[in-house]
Amino acid sequence: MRARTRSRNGFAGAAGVAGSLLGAAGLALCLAGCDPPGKGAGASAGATKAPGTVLRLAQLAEPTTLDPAQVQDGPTIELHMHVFDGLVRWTPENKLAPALAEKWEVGNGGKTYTFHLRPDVKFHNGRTVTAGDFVYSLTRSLSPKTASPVALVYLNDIVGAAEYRDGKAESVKGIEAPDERTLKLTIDQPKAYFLSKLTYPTAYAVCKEAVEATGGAVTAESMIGAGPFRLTEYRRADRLILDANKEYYEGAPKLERIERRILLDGGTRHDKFTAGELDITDVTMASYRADAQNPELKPLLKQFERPAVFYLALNQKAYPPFKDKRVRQAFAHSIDKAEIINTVHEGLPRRAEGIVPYGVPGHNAGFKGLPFDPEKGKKLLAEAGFPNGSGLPPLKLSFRASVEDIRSTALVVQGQLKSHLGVQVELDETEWATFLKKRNTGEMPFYFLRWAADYLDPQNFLSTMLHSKAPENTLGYANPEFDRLCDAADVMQNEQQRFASYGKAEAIAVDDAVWVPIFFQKDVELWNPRLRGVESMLMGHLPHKRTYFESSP
Amino acid sequence: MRFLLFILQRCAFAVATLWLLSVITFSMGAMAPGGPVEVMLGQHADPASVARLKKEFGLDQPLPVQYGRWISGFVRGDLGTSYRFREPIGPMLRERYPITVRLALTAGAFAVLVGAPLGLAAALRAGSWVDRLATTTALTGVSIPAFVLLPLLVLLFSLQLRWTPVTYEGEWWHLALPAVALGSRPAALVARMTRASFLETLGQDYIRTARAKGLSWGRTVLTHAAKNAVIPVLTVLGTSVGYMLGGSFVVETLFGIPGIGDISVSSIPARDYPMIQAVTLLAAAVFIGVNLLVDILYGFLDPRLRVAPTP
Repeated sequence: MRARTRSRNGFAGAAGVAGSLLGAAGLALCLAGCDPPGKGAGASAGATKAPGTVLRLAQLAEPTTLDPAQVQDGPTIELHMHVFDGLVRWTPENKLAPALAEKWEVGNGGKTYTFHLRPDVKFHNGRTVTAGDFVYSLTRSLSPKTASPVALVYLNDIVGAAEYRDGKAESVKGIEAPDERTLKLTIDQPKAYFLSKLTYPTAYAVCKEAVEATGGAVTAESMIGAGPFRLTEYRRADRLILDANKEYYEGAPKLERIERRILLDGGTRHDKFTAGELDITDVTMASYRADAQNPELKPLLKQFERPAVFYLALNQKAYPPFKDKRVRQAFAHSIDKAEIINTVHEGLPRRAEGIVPYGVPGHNAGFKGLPFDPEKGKKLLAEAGFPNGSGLPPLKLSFRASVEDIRSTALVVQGQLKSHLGVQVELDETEWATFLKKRNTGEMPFYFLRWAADYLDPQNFLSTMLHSKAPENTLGYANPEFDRLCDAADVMQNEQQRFASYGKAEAIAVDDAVWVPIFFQKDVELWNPRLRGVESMLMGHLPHKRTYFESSP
Repeated sequence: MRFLLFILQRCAFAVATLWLLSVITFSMGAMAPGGPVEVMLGQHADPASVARLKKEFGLDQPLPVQYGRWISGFVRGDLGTSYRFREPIGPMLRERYPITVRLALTAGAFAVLVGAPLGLAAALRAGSWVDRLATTTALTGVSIPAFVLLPLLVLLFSLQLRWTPVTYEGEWWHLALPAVALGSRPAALVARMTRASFLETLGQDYIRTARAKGLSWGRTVLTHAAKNAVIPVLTVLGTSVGYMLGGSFVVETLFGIPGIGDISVSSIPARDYPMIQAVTLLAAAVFIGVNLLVDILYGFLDPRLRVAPTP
């Protein structure tokens, strides 16, 4: 029954209008409630800095930790490298150079590193950095109390590291400070790649008294290092503000301040850049397609090689047919790498013939891996007893969930295996933590994954991932010749000989088709056209020590 | 007195619900493949490292022991330490929650202050163009999700018109766009419920009698009608605001609002169990609290729903 409620006096219309006005007013009143603490200070602090001296960056996720002993992810490492400094650093030419250690000697057949520290380096609180600080910091990284998931990856070569971590020793035997300016590190074997591992945050110098004052943990108050910038403010989930360290030993940075705004969504970061509110932002493939067509944005795009390889893994432990090298090679010959690179990734990343990425010392420039050769693939598969794929048990291709480019690549691979080899694989999109677990237990027969360098050395790609005794090798791959070459190269001191040995090992692994490397990672970014002096190397941007803005537009 | 009993009863029920929820969440976390240690170690998860970290985090203990340890801390106010951030969870949530609350309440205010007049106008002019316009608007509001609406609003107001920044930059009025995006669906629900409820109430006999006796619209009749008609609207509003108070991941992430939305959702792939427990219970407790408030409010509006006897 319709209510006889029609009013003829326009009351309803008036009510509607009044309501909307009231709504707007009420909304305004609600918003004008008391501001969250600290916000006002920040807004005005930004205003006092002259334009052109503040670099506005985006932090892709909440910093996972302020403790360099724990940090693992790229975005957070980028934060740490501005606040802290270590013994050695990377140059834009991907070489190691002195940082807080002005020189060092390698002795005892390559097992002892003696560092001589600069005398004039100070922490942000004014105290001079000594060798004792490095003893403290390195030991702290390895401490069971710190419980760092990552410290042993980078520091386990030091004699006594594992014992100390497992509580079997009171200190780390291989870390000594004979005097205030000398630090002596002893490693278990003459591993030439040890020095590059010291560039990682686990070897940064932290300020002992500050850290102990906050109970042994590194908080915003105790995040005190000797780096080119100091952490002034950390507004959770919002932004980090870094101010220049005017006393920095290489000279004060040209920038006054870096603002790292925490912005989780790629689209938001992109919008902020185009609105002029960010100076550098990352670009996804989806954005790249549009940006490359945009005459305003195209000149601002910059590409960066990264030391990471995207590959298909063939696990003979979980899929018996993969025990036969011919089957693995058949798969390798059926992958059209060019098609993947061009259709999914706009032709941007570099094709991977081998495993060690372009730019990593030891990368084999002229090396040719298994070519795209469907005829050969079919022949090999037939020879192995599976003509046209018949007789092969069902196979799943696993890959990480929720990343569009990864899914697209998997789709293309599935299509290629079907049309070039006649093998139908099922797609298995897996959530990351589950994927990791399954990889660790070696239960995924066939998967697409990326391996990014922990440090720039072929050892990290070959010995670490594919040696038969390597814990990371859950593929059941064991080639005695590969192992022999890697074991020898791991302890050679002559770089040329080392790389030659690794190169031979790489050729064996590629021929064995345990991994089918597809492409090396390439990152794309958009830069403010007025930015100058930004230094970059293979692993990422270097600290913005010499970055500045060109004043004329 | 009965009112007090009512409150106590509801509180006891709330505690029981929350406890059961904590057990369920904990069990689901324990059953999920992959744990925080695997995520922390990434591709460096050799058996020795996994065992070592599990021991250091107390994850090698049997499940009931782990749960017992967690709950004994929780009831004493210690919300635990995040596996992902290695920081106490209490302060983390305390820092981030206020702005989530502001966003939710603002969106709720938008919902009622825009939705209710719209629905009322539609009810009073039922069948007319006003009604049709209001209903269509409501339908649009309920159909467009926040993650579509917000980027559209940003496109218009931030990128084209340059009136607002692309993300939250600290000023109070920056919350306007996300509040509108977040509140548009509740506004539509409020509008529809208001319309339906008023139509039903105004059709009642006692209203017809009042009008027949000569009482005018406005103060008298509408006020009496409103007291009854508003009850279902309150329910809708309470549910919507209660839900939004649990954190709005999409809006907060898209607009860079430093609330709890991000850590609540991203703690799942990270298997940050203490965080998952804490935010689940926080959201549930708030939701239960809001519903309790609504129930009490009912009592003031409609004596028949009162939990205490009328004198």
